[in-house]
Amino acid sequence: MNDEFLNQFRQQPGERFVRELHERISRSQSTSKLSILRSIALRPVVIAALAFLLTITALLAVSPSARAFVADILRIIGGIPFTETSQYPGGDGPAEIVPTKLMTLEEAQALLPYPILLPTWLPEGSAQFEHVRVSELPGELTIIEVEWEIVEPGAEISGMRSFGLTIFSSPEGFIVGPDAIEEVSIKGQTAALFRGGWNYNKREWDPSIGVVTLVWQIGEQEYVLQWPSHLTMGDMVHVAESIP
Amino acid sequence: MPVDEADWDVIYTEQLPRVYNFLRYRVGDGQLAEDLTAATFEKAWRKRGNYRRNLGAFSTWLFTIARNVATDHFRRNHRELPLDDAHVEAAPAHVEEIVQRRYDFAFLSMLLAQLSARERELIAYKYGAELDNRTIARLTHLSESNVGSILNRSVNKLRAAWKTEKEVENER
Repeated sequence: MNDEFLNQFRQQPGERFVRELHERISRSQSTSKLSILRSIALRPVVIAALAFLLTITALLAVSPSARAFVADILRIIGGIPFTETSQYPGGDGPAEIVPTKLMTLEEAQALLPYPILLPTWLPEGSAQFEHVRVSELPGELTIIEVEWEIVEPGAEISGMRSFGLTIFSSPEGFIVGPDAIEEVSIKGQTAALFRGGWNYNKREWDPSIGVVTLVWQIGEQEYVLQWPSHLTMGDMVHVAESIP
Repeated sequence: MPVDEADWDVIYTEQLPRVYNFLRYRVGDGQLAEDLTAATFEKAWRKRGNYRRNLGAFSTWLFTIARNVATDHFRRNHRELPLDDAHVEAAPAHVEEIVQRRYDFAFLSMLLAQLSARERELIAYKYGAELDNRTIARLTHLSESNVGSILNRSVNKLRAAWKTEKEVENER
């Protein structure tokens, strides 16, 4: 099999990357055993893993052409604008990657003038990731992402059981598929819930993508809880309602 | 017996480049590959207590995590490399070798993006991580002969497109 052209692109990872990752893991050694338990014992944080939705949000924030590309139905739910459209909002170019920084929750909190509110209840076995992601976008929009993984006792590898919460410093709109939004109530406050996401390859809204997203406002901030669709929805609501 | 901390540095040194290259061939982007590599090793470190030596090689366990991290990435982003990326990044004529190499890798990434997810994954295991077919079969739950067939078919497709591009390039 003449495959030499496939062999020529392997390369060594950058020395700085290797060193910094090693240092980061080494630093976590003393606390890593605690981290599995602290999500329940201590007050944990939630993170959202919605890179794609963030990309869309980022496009809305920074790209007038992206705004113009969608127009259909605008709904305001709980003070947050949602555009329901059948047109894929990503455009033809490559998706915009929003640079993020990894830091501890405490470091992230120190950057912000408002509190990062965390759920006080999590499903059993939830383990908080040790770092949160912080993205700073044009227009003074800051996004904090905290993530958990549900570790099954005895499982060799936990699989795709992560969920998270993203906190936007100010309400940001979402572009979703037609009729995707349901209005729900979180502690008596109106929130939006939708299933699925934009499928980049098909360039269409795909309700079968296995994630459920809940969006609502707490104070001046927007909270976005993303949840694997195969997990219990009751637990998702329980997590959301446990945020003080 | 779970992996102990004394083993970790050896594992890190030996396996990091292989996982990194698996992910480079999988996602086609150096920075993103670094991020996913970091996520893989951080997850492996957190879960090292779950690993049992008698259930298989640590590298197999590690690559299963890397595979999940990559799958999770695609699930979250719903994005593969756009088909036009190689042309977007195309460098002008008379470029230095390093630029040409970047262009070539971007082009290869574009070709990989046109394969099915399974084909791409197998190519990344084989040529990124340099795993043998038997190990790939274990990781993907395919038979060894099936792995060989898929790889052969995928390489043929890639080679044809690669050859065409190089011919066009030479004519410029």
